[in-house]
Amino acid sequence: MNHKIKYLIIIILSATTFGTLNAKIKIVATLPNFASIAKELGGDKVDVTSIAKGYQDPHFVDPKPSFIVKMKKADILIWAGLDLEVGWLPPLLENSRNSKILWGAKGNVDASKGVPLLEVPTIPAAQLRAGGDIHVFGNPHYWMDPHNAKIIAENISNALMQASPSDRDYFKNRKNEFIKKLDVAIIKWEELMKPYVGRKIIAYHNSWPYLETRFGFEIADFIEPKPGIPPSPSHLVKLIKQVKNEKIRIIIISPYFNAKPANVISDKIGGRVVKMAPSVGAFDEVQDYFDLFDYNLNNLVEAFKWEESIN
Amino acid sequence: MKQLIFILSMLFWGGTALLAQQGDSDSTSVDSSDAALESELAKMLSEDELDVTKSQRIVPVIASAGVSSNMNPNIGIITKFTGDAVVGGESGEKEGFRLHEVETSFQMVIDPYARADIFVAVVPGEEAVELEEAFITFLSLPAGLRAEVGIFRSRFGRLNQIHPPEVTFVDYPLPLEMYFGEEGLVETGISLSVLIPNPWDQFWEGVLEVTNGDNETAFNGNATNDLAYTGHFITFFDINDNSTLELGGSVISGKNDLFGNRRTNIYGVDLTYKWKPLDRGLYKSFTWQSELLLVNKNVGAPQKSNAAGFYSYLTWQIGRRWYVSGRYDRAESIETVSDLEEKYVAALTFFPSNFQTVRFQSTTKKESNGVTNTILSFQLNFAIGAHGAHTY
Repeated sequence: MNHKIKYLIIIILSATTFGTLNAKIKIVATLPNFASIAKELGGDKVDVTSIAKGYQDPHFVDPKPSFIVKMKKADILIWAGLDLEVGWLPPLLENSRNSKILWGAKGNVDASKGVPLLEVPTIPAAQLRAGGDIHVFGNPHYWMDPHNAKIIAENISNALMQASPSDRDYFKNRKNEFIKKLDVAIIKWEELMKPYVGRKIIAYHNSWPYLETRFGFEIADFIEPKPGIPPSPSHLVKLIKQVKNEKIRIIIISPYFNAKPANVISDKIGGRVVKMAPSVGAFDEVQDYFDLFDYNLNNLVEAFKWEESIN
Repeated sequence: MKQLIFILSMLFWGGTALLAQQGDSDSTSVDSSDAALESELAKMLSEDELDVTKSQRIVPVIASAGVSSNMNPNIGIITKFTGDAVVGGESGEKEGFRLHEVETSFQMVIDPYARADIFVAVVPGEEAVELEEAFITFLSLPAGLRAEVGIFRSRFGRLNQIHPPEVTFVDYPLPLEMYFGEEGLVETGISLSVLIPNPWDQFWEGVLEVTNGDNETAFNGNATNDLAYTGHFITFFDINDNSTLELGGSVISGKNDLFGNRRTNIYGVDLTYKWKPLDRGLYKSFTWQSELLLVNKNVGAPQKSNAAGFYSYLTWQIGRRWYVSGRYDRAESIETVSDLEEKYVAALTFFPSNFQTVRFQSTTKKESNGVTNTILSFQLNFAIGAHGAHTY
């Protein structure tokens, strides 16, 4: 009898140990950019899914209940913060009943922690919305500066080490490798963009200040008169006059916006519309975080070269 | 005459709202050649889809600024204003302008375990302040449970959980109004919900509510100590990345007389189909939502005690800020034998921004005694402060 119980205990113990050994850390990321970085950092010890797709506007994701099922099983949640997901993350997270990733839990990773922010508004909250969809904490598209990915990686890596302390060294090594790889890429990207520092373009929406600041080109104006407000014809007239004066020919736009106003302007000024990838997965060519910059910067460079050829 | 003035003012308002949307342009610098270019561009732009959207039900929260208000809950205020004119049939319905309510929400996480949601409505005509909802939600209880305790909109069916200013139409569908009253089913008690694990990894949620059964239309009001019990089961399927299907079943049971002898049982089935292409989600979407309600009210033989009600609506997003909707309602009265009402509703909704709603609606109501009337309505909602995310 005693033996039977002993065996049973051994079986149960080994089964649970085996289960734990085999189990990968389950990560749910709100955006594919964080999912891509988490894969780099976690290697084969993590299982990563992203809620938003790269070709979807990250401000307006539908909180489908099927995402709750994914979050219920997650060990780590990575989100952008700065109110980017405020319209859809809270109902998903608060329905997940998962204390490992709820607000304030160790598995809840606000990727923006420690990131130097751009465009933090200085006007009082009561007047803020007169400026359109302004983010009260600053522009939330911070993953578009590759230097910020080091801070994001630090935040994610800390959570991985918390989730599985026995893999500390593994995660530490992977993080160091990621940063090394990133530093090499950043030098390459900066070299690529060097000839075009100070060059002016226009953008549809204000999603690019981090990319602009890092690589030195200049977004002279936006097709949207205010963030989130679609352009009227009279606004376009004003814009066309301005870009003609400043000899700007390049317009950048994210794939989820209506390209018509950009095409109309391009038509009038003999310009070119460049579809940029706002996130990993926006286009087939953009499979990971490194592709994001390769794709966008190469496209910009190609457009700048075209601009030189016709001027 | 009154009608005419009303319609004119409606049009005026509509025009002003539309112009306001274009208001970011400054027309002062536009000379005649600019005007020609402007009209050309307007034409070029209009050849495409109208222009885009954010989901109508999702409004960003704005956080309070400044250290002094950092520990305040998120406060949001939504105001619903309408104007109604009877344009056909008997003019028994109310006409003119009405400010329905100013709904104020206070929402905050309490501690690591729970959050609080409080909704207070100020209703001008009645000079009343109504506590619409006030509940604590325990976010992560053992066994995957989640609990709400307080006064809340019951999880019966699908539409009942939506606050009146945020319903897709000016009015509430007939079955909900006739079986639960104008405010819907709001109850005091406890609501427990659980995610049910299943081999297909689908979203299955079960809800059990124990409440006072204070609803005066369905039950006996707060006159007795009897409790009401609600059960709700929801399944949700992703058909593909762009479309989803949600199917729910509900039941509520409570006593309806002062002696606690007679029972009302109400059964509901709800089905919602949504389509929204992920890469064009700002501009296009489609929703089809229907609910069927069956009421079994024991009012003592030999009186009739069974009634059925149904509504079904379509909402089609035609541009970033524009939605066209249609709804059909049909409901039998619980009180009177063979009393049947029907409604045909058509609405055009425009969102100047995430914080305003402008709606034009035509509602034709048919009663079984042959009385038919058509009402034209204009609705204006405006929201300030924080306004939390909505459920899907």
